[in-house]
Amino acid sequence: MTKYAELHARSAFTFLEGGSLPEALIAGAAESGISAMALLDRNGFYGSPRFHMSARKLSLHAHVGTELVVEDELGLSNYPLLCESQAGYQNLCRLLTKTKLRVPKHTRSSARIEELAQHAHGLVCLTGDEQGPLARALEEGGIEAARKLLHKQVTIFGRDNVYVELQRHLERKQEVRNRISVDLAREFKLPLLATNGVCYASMADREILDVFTCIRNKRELATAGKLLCRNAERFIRTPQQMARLFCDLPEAISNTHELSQRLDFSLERLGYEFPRYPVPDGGSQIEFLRAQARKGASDRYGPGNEKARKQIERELDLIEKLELSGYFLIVWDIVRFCRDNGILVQGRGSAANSAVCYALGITAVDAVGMELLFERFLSEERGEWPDIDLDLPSGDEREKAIQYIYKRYGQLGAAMTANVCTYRGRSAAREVGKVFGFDTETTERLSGLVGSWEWRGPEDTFDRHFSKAGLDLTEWRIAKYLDLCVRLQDLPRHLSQHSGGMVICQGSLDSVVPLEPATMPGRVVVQWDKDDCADLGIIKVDLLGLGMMAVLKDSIELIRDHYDEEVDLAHLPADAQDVYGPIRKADTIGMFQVESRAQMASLPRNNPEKFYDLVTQVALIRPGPITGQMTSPYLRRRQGKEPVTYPHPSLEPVLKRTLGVPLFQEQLLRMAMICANFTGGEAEELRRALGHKRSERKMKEIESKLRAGMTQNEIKPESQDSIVQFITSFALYGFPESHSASFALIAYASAFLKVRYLGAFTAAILNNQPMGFYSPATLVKDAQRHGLKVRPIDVTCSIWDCTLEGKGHAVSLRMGLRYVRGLQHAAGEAMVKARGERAFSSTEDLTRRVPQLSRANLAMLARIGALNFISGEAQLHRRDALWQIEKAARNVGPLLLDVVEPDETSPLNRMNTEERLVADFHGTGMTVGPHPMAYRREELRKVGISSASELRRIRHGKSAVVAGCVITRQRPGTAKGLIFITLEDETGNANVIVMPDLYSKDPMVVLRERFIKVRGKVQNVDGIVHLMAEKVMPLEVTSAETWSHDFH
Amino acid sequence: MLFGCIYVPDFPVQAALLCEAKIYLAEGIASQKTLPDKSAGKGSSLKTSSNEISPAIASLGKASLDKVSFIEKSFRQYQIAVLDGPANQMKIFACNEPARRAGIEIGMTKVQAEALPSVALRKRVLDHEFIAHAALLECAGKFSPRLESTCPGTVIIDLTGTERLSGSKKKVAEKLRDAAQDSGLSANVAVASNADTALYAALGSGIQGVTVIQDGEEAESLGDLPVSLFNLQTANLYFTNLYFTNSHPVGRQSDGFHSGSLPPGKLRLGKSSGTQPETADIVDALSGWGIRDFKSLAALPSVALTQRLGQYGLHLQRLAKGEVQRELVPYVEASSFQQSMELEESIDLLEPLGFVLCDLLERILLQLVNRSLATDRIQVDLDLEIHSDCQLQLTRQQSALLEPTYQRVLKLPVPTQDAKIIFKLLELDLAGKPPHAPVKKVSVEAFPARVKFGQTGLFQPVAPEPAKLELTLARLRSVVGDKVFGDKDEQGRSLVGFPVILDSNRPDSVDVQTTMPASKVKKTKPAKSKSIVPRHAMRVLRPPAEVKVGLRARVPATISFGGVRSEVMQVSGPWRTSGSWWDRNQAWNREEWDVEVQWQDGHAGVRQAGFRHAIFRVFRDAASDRWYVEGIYA
Repeated sequence: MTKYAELHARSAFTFLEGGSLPEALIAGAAESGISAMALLDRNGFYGSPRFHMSARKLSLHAHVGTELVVEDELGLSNYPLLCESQAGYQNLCRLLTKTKLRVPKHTRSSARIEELAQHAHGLVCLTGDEQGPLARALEEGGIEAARKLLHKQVTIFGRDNVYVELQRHLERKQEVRNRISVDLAREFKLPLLATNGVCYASMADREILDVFTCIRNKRELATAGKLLCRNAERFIRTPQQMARLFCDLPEAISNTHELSQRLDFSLERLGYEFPRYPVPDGGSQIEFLRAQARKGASDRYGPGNEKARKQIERELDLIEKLELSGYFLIVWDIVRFCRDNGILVQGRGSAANSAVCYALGITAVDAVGMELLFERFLSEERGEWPDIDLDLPSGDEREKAIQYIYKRYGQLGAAMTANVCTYRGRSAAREVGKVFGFDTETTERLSGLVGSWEWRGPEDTFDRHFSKAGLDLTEWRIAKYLDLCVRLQDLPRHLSQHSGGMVICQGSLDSVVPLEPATMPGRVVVQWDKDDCADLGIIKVDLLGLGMMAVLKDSIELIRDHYDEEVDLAHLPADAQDVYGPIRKADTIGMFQVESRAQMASLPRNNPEKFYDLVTQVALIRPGPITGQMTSPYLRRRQGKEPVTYPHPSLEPVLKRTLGVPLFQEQLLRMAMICANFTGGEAEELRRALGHKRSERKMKEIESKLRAGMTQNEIKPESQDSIVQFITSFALYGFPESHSASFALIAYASAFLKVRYLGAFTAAILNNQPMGFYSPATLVKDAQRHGLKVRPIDVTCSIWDCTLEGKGHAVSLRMGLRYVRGLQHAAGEAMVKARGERAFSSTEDLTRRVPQLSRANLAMLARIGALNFISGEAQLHRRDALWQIEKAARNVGPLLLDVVEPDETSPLNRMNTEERLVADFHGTGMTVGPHPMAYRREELRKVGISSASELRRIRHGKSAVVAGCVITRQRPGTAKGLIFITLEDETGNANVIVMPDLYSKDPMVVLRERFIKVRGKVQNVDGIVHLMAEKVMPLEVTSAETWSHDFH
Repeated sequence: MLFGCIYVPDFPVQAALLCEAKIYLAEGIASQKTLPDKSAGKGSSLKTSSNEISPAIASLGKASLDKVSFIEKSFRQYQIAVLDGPANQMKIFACNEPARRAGIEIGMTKVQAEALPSVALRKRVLDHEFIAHAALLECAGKFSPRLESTCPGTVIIDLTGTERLSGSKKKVAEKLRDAAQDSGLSANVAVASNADTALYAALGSGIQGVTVIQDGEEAESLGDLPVSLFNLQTANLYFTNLYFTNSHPVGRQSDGFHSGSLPPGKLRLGKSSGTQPETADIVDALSGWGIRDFKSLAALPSVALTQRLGQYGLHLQRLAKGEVQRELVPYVEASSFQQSMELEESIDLLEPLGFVLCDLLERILLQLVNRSLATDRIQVDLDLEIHSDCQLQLTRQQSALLEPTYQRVLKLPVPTQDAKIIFKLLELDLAGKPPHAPVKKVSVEAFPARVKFGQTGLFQPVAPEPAKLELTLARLRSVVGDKVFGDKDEQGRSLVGFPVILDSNRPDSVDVQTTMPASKVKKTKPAKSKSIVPRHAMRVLRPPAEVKVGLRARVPATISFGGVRSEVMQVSGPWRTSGSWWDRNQAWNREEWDVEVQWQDGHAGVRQAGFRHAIFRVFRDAASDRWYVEGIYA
């Protein structure tokens, strides 16, 4: 039997130069009977982890290497390099990092031949294909140059480590080169090595490579000419085919096996080590950790909590056993840095299951009090690194934390994880359309048709889009186009930076994985995404930006300054009923995670009274539980309308807390462990498949495994069905309990601040826009309805941010200059500074002293009434100010400078209410005066239109008409095409549901009108009021530019 | 002084409708119930509420073009919107009143507009607007030669002195409106003592409105107009600037409409060009002040206003008062480069026709030369004398011979002013394809283009002069060619032209182009010391000859060529190429072999060449599974 190893293959991770995924190459190799394969992607190891993992499953050898672009005297060529040992791999990583970091992102990097010589230890070099150094030398300088090159290679790598590579793709020119190569190999006594220079798994995938070639060169297939492949021979050949092809040179085949045997390195032995924490006085890490945890525990739990002490000791023992103390200390160090620098930080993810994390201050969820499952976080059996995510205020503060890590572990000791962007429906349709030479309009129409709305109908497939766009699928070209659009799905397109994942390494990270520059200055990125890192056991810390964290931090500062009170988020009063009251009534605008329409619609039914109810609430409205049809049963059980039952008696302990309905990932894992005898490791694999974008195939595998296990445990087929349904629907996303608890904590904190310190909370949330679900106008109106006095922007007292005036609970909110449309931050600050020196006496004074303010800025300030009080006692009206501004801001020239204006007062009329509304919304996006609907209330009442508050009192089933300003429109993916509209008036919000058929009758009114009136039937069940629309009509209220948050 | 202004509201829509009505009639498809969709966009055929075109139009049949205005008027009831912009982000550029009522707004995206299925969408075609504007100018020209082509869809006419001819001011205005109506455009018309007052009065009045402003009542009459009209008008003018000077250069004309007929639009609001943003600022400031109409603007104190809005603000105030007196920017009709000659007696020989043509051409080229222009396209229309009995049942070919007109279009590779060359080319063309009947009228039109002055590089090889080369090619074309394929060979390539090697992996792919390919300056590469690819001469067979090949273990073993079967002694291969997989007709997949054969004595090849061995390049076409000889190695 012929033994052959394919030692030169490129995957789609040589972006746009390879046609198959690493997994497909491995599958192809297994099918062809090849025992070992080497993946040599260009200038990196991008696909190596996936290649390695899939090879491991099929018991193949996955060799590691790269095609390194090297610059020598003849120009650029691709050196195929294979890693023989760990030293070789590390050398190559360092060399790649060096070359990548010296050029900006998106620029092709190359190594210099001298650098390669310095990093050559442990590497095997092949002479390459038509882009390789030997072909290049022959082309440029003939045989003499080739001789010189081989001599140099032998000097650099040693005679044993240079192989003369032969490829046979049935091309004449290549064969000529091969003949010369064979002669040169004999002359230099170098071994021959046959490879097929694989670029795609099967012959048919040559088409993908041709399409990629066109995308890369911005050409169409019809005009790409010789850029395209000459034939389709670069697929994975069987050993027999290769032996036949090289029957004249059998040693070239046998050498592949020998070399494969020699290549000792695999990604199994990556040499990664998490950094050790430098313990101050030279003690051991675990002792230091124990001391810190005990100290923290006594602060958090108090001295007498025996249960907590035991749990912490148990966890610490496990941490010691698994040698993870360094990891905990390092995360603790980051958290400590944040605390010391006033950056609010909270851990979430499975770390919230740990009492040690709580004691160290990493998380704020009391794992002992909430009886959270520690094994979900850390288990001896899984042998995997724990996962700690840190939530930080988004923006500069998160960046500070990231830069701290870079500083502490060195530029080459830490890096962000990558994110692989792949071809999806729309991008594939667009790119392939261009390549096929469709006109822009057709291409745009096609790509536009693919999933432009979140809701995906049952027939939302490529075929349907094509027929809809008027393309005939029986036509060859169109059929090919469709085929390629589908085949391009999930192939990598480029790498970007993951939003928050960071990897840290003991020693230098650049010898573990090549690093690349990121677009953002001061950042470096590894070549692998977070799944690859996890697969290879590289530990990462997620630093995620969360707008609400910034709000909480700002609120605390405002409370300190204006209420003279100190709020500690870790010690908020537990289960304060004045906080739960509004939540139960779904009065939750601005509160974290519970403010969306869907959340509001379930809050009165869930009726949260304690913290755990909030935890379930946060997890309840997720696509997983909703599509798995777990939300409604849970709410009915919660209201006592349905008995609590379990799919199987053995599951009672797991599902008891959530009334027999699984809501959290942990519960599903436990279910799998109990029902189907999954081991901890298998359950973990299940978890990753659940949260995984590449999950479909994995889910199928897991389902059969689940069913087999359940049959073994004699679980009835019907119960099996419901258990499988529970588990698979979570593939669409569900929360782990600890994660939910962390979010619930922030939700509770936001509710607490909103209820107790409305002014501070509102100011903080207005200063951190855009975030959350509602526009600033809605947030302001909501705060006003709750009794907060909101004062307009005024150049005599507003600063850049919204702030509070007054002390204690009588504070009022002063809108900040940040809300003036078109005003630059610097101009705003300059004005505040100038005012700090001396108050402005007139518009003229303002214009002269703050030259940064443009005429447009001044006019805008005048229009929104911010200059009304500039002259002290003598109050101007807005038009007076505008009249004066126009003169003050204009350089009239010497001729008119001394002309005394005959009439000092302005000839203009005051603005009327409508004009003021228009100016307010245009200039600030909101009004702090009465709601526009308030001006029309009398009139509306006469024609029988109810206000939002009146609607709540109308009985179920009655007809009603409401009117208001549209503040949100939603069409969630889980709601079968229903459209949810929220209307706002001066009394509150009214919820309207529009059925798809009503929408299709008059889409423009539903989609575009800013004010509408809706007639329909009232649905008033369990305190949740909806109006089921029967007719939607436009309503003339004001021409002010109100704004609606649509389809997010 | 008396000025009149004709303003066509929603001009792009009306222009589109006018041209569609013309096409509708011209195509004689009045019996069909819906109009074919000329633009892209789903469901955009014209529909009314009853989804049928008015029966009156349907009964028209192939009527005369006088009915255009009638059809256009009938079309107006449909909801129509015009899209403009780059293909991937087209937005609504204009719409008519019914469409506006249906919910269309200017600036909507195409996707948003498509949500209103009752609205017919049209892509903006600049030529339609040129045609419509030309029609408007023509109808204004009937009243006075002193015209100003203000902007697309707006014309101001100096009517001073015409009252005596046409009657009262009101009558003049009504006549103007009716004239526009007859040419298929519904317009607002205003007459006043100065141009701008007439302009704003026309802009501001209702659909098909007629406004007469008496002397001294300007300020009062304009008082209720919104100040936002300044924006509209300046935007129009600004846009005219871009549109007529940049995107329609001389030489790119169609439908006989010459860009020269519209002078480059200038801002005539008292300021130099490019002030559109400033107008917007001023109108914005005015609306901030609560000044909504001309009356309020007129009432503001002038000095204070000037201090705030500058001279331009003052100018706008004077416009609002109707006080601005200005001269019109005269509209000069462009000359068309067309000459025709009706013959007293028909000519049926080419030679006398040549004399006529030569004379006409010389006259046209003189006109062009006088304007420093050249031409790269000449169109000759011949009216023929046909005597036929219409009752005869004719075949298609026969009926072509009864066509009463005959047209030839000559395109030149470069613009030229040389009448002799053009004449020679025309002569050769007509000699190859003579008219099928005696000629009674000859018309020649030249399409102007800018003269190209080119200087070849000092080190470039000397090439023949393009015009002369074209002449030679035309001569060759008239000589070669056959009856079956005409000027093309059986593979669809031209017989005369410039051979070009195509950029393709497909072996032996060449094309013949009719125009000279742009010469590329090749990068000089250092001479290679030794080429690694050995070169062999091969005699290529075009087209390849089919052979029978016997295989042994998938390798050619025997070849039957020229009626003789030979054993293959040695082979080399296979060499595979394939490509064009995306196009079923063009796809190829072939496998080449080099084979050495030994001929027996007495074989024709042996007799000719005198040796017994030969090496062939043979290939198998995978699609047809046939073998061919591509060439023989020398």
